[in-house]
Amino acid sequence: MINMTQKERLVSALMNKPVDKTPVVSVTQTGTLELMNAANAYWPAAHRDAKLMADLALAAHTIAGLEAVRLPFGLTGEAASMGCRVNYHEDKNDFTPTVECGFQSYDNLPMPSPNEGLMGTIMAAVGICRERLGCDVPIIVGVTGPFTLAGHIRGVNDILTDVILDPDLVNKILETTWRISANFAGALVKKGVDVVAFIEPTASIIGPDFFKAYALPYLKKAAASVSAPTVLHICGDSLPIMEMMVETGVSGISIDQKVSAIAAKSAIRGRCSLVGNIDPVAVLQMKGDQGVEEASIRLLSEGVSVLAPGCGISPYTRTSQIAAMVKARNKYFEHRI
Amino acid sequence: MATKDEILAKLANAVVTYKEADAMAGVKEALEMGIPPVDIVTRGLSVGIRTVGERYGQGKVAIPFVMLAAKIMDKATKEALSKVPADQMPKPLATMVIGTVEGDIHDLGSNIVSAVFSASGFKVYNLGHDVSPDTFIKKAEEVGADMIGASALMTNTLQQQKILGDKLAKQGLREKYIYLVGGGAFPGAEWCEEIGADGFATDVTIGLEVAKKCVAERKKQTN
Repeated sequence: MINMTQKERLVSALMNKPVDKTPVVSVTQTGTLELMNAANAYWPAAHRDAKLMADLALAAHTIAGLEAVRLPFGLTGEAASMGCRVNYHEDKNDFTPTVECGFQSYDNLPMPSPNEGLMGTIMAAVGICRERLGCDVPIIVGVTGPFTLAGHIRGVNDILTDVILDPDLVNKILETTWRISANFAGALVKKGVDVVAFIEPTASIIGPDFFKAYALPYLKKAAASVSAPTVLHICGDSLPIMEMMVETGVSGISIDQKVSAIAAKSAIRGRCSLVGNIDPVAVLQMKGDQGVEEASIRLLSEGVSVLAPGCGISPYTRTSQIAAMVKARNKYFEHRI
Repeated sequence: MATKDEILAKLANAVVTYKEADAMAGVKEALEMGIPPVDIVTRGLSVGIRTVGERYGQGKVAIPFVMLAAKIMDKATKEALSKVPADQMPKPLATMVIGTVEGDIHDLGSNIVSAVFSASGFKVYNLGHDVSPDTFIKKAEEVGADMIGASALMTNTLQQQKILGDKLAKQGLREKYIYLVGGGAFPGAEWCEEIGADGFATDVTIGLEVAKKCVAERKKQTN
């Protein structure tokens, strides 16, 4: 097969179409301390300044060699734009921002435009990235999944018991949050984003029954509204909900390092592509090049469609370790020719 | 009239079936019957939360149910013990300071551990989420803890477990405390070794066994 551009390769891989070689990207956060130094773009400023966000996101592609640019570095854009208070952990460059509190009332939740607040900053960063990259390098943006966003604005601990005690309240909040996720995703695609990655960590802890009731219907609607390839990333052991993850209608499923790629592939049965799942800490941060190479080659031989970390890259990861994923993929495909 | 054992069974059942009203009514009834408050907790409510914890460990119940049981347990325990003088409380198996590391807002794991450990004879000080290393250490020193537990649910925040371990070592306190780590993102034994912790778990029932083993070993060493 002729050499594909990185964008063609990623889109084809996610759509389960033939590729010249498996793409190596991250659908989760890519900021590291070394890349911050290299790009002169540091957290927390790079979490809320479009230019710095773009500089740091681009560094994971131009310096570490990942075959896509992925932004932002946290999961707070939607909640922040709704008016939730965000803790950026000032003066610390190794923390992702966290949502601190939500709303007193859930009757008239705000529906911010994708150009407002932190979502607007991410949109602007996408514009800068696209301008600097040209058309051949794909841009991936992580969008907070509807249930996780509902957890942000209600409080994770509260929403976990709400699913038992107050289903109406949960559904009321989700009716707003899925629309925010979908509107943001739609606007990002119009701005030039190639892949939308729905990040839905909170949905991973509620178990299959509640996932079916509260996460699946809204993820389905959000995914259906996006006219570009989509990925659903869920942390933890997602095997018990894998069938429902397929049912959401996303193009690709991103699995955590806890999930066996072989088991996930068997559960997916070709209906979606499989993205994953190098252990971000036990391998990517802690092992040397050899360890990253072994893990990458194992996953490629197990048939992942896209080679990627199983969750957000630790800020303490060395650039050479990220680059080792790409080197391993190249080596794997050289030997296959 | 119900017997003491029947009331205690009713209290356990209220936690297992997630019925807060039944738990609170059960506490009131038990106190009126003259059942010692400590028995209400250790032989009634605690039996319930341990059962829920075991069922969670076996994959039989989802986290929301464990969270709800823990909330009920906490409220009912506070009510039962509200009038017990501190010097009449039973001696705990060990005193633990627990929390979710700085930069991480996910404290459901440490809340579950807190509830189950409390029900199993530990005195637990739960510091909640986004807890700095200094706060962990300050609280442990203040309450004379035997054990510090640090949870992380994100790969981005696991490093904070190492930072806390390093800080304890730097202050010459590392050997003073049993240092346990865990959380949903925990990578396993190699990470535990890397950060120099005494033990780890990603599941509350395993965590309880690890903690009990560490306490027993520590006691053996000091005897």
